[in-house]
Amino acid sequence: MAEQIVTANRLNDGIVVYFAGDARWVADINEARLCPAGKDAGEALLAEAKTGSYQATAVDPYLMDVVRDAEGRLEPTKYREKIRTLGPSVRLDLGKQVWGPKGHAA
Amino acid sequence: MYRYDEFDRTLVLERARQFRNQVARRQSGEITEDQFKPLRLMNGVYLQLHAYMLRINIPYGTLSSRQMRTLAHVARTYDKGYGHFTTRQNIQYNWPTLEEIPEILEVLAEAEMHGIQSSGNCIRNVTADQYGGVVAEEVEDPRVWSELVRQWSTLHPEFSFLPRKFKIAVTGSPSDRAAVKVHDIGLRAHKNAEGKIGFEIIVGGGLGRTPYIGKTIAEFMPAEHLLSYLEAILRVYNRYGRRDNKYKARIKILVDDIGIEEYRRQADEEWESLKDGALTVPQEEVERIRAYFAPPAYETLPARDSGYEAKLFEDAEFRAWAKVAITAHRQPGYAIVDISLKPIGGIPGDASADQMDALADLADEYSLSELRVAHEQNLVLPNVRQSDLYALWQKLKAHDLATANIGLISDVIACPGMDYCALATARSIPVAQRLSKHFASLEKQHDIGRLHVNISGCINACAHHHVGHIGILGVDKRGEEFYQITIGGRADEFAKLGDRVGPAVSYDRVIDAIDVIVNTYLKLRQPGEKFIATVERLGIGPFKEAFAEENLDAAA
Ligand code: SF4
Repeated sequence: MAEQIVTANRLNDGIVVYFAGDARWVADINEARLCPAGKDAGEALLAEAKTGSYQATAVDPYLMDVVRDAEGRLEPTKYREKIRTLGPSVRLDLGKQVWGPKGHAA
Repeated sequence: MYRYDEFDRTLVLERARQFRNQVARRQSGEITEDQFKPLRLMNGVYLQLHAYMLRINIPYGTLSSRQMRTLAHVARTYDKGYGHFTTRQNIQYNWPTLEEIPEILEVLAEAEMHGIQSSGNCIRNVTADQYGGVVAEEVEDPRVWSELVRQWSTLHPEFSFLPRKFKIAVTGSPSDRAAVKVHDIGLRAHKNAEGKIGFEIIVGGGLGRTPYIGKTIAEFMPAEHLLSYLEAILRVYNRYGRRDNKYKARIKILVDDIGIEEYRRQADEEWESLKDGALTVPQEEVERIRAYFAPPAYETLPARDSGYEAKLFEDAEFRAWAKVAITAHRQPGYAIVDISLKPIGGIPGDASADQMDALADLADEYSLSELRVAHEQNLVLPNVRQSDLYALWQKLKAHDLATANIGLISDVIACPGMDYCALATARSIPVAQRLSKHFASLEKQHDIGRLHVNISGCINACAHHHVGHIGILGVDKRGEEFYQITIGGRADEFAKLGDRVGPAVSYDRVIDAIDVIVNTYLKLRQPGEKFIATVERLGIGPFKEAFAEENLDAAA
């Protein structure tokens, strides 16, 4: 079953970020805050992400669907979001796909 | 070659400084994204999937070697070592940080380049035939008139908030390399019986969601009336273009709605009050601009260089390259050289900083320090002595810039698609790469002959798929990448929209589908007949049948 998280691009460099709760935006999808079950919960999470000074960090937040893979890691359901989590599929040397764990450049 | 006059230089530097201030205010939270977005777009700054993208104008596709070095420097210093040449004769950088963009704009301004007006509902940068001023068949240099139109349209107070963006293209040759029939306005300079220069003015062309081939509103508008008549056309559009619906706001919809006769009637009516007024183009102004585009210091050479001809005879590899890469120059003894940015399996239009530097050096050594950008996402050295062609070719080879595929099936025009573009519905680059690898054999490509493939990653049609001989449009079908294929389109003086050959095919089958089309052509062509001619002779029927037989739309 798909669950939802909130994503955006980071203001300073455009890097894809995810809302982790408590006004934090993180580069690693696995640290994203999962939407609790329930109707309208996604909208509530998005509203929470859009509070305070989010504008100084995150550009145009929106909800996206994720599922868990066999190892329990979060994976986007749409290929657009898959590409956003990784980087260009035609330049495997660029984007997040070359980052090490924890979202630092390898 | 043309240099900005002082007014422009001040303006461009001023804009870079303003943008620095706007970025700082955005970062401090003083302005919101909604307030900031139009400001960054006005400076050519887009937010893509993975990062910001900076789009820089290259007016009429003309670049000096010095500007090319600046582009290389920006790619190396502020980006990831490469840039992407687009179908609008722009360059895009895919990874600049917001913080650094003001500095990049200043560096570019020093080399007389900028991103102003590459977005927004204004008249965008004017594009022209990339061979302007050098090609043998030319009637009139389109750059002179592009520049005149650019000066008229830059920050034009009345036309800064048009119903929608507005694109103008200019050609001065019988062969149309500027795709003037698929622009909001296309201008084709030609001469009347008295030898006077005038323009065929074509309006309402455009691609995207609702593609149209433009219609001729004036067969021959004498040159001195060009701006006043353009003003009249724009006024009608500004007044009646649909502002309520962004999908119906382009001039093509208005022209289609009211018909070209009615549009002409209204433009003519508007023109009554403008004709012979302040917008009449003074001959001195044309000459002033023409002086900027004065031919460089060519040597007097024999029309044919025997050394070059001997090399053509001796070296088959060189001959294959020369056959597609070289176009006749108007100056005896010189040649125009197309440089393919489509190495087999490469990313169409991408050039590394090192390649850009190498090209700047080669332009200095062999092309009187000049380069051009073609909307096919290739580059051009416009002023090469025939006697230098062999040496140039060897050096290009060393930089992977001598693929002998100009105009052939692997010279694919492809937009960035889902690999970079936030608007995309599917990827386009990997389709281009697979296609190019599938037809890697140059021998096979030369046998297939001229065949233009255009791949867009969404309905916005940045890669002009409707007018590709084979057009490919990426769509999203239930969360999967699918591709609609059209054939028979063309972007030249016989511009035509392609027709669908069948249902959309999956990412996995798209190369098979192209293969079916190509094989059908190879089977049915008459001796010497080009792909587009075969399609026009036989219609789309046989291709549809072949397509249906292969069941290409069935689940793979
Ligand atoms: S055609 Fe669509 S996907 Fe391709 S660059 Fe244009 S907007 Fe982006």
